[in-house]
Amino acid sequence: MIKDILTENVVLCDVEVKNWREAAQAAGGLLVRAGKVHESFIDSMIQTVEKFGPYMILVPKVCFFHGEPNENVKEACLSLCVLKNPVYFDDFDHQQINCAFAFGAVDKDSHMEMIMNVAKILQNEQFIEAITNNYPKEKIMEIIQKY
Amino acid sequence: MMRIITVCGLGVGSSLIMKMTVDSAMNQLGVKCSIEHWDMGTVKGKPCDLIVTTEEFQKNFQDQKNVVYLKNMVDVKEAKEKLETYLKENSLL
Repeated sequence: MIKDILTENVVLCDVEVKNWREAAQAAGGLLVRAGKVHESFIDSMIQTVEKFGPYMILVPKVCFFHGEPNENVKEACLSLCVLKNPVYFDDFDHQQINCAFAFGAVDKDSHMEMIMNVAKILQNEQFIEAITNNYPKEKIMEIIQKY
Repeated sequence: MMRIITVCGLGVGSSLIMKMTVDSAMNQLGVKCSIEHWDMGTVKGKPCDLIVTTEEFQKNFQDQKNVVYLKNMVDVKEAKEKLETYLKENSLL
């Protein structure tokens, strides 16, 4: 269930960042502090964007940062930073994001169930509205509790 | 049976999400298919009938015609419309 993964300690709202790299660092930092990934995982998430472009914008304005699955990830994990102001992939096609997930995987598909649940919650328009408009954390956690 | 591959940069997140979206869409269209998810590095040379990926990767598949690009990777409706168009254009539906 998403509510067992996106717990209070890995969801942050009203996050102030200046650019997409800082957004990735903020979301990844939550996973580092929760003891789910090593610090170097954050670099891997940023390198993935630098290598392939911001293809991980799963839904417009919603970025799903992820890095190489390797020993930097201790277990499959997810965090969410809702941004106070949007940031832009200005070194690419200037796509805007208003929130950043950080997703860690240990291999190619053992996190299948988690991803299925991520897909479900991202289909909830209320949830997208909340995370792309910096709604209060209580409101966002309330929706997460249903998944 | 139609073989579909969903592709993203690393083959762990976005491609898996697209796999589920495509699976729902193809079910609704009533077309039987097998779907695998791969990363950009290993997808070349994998046998398949259709590739589904994101708009960001258009430049990577310029020389291929059997590619459908998604804007919203969890939007089954968008996937269904684009897949339906592709299947009809290729007399597969």
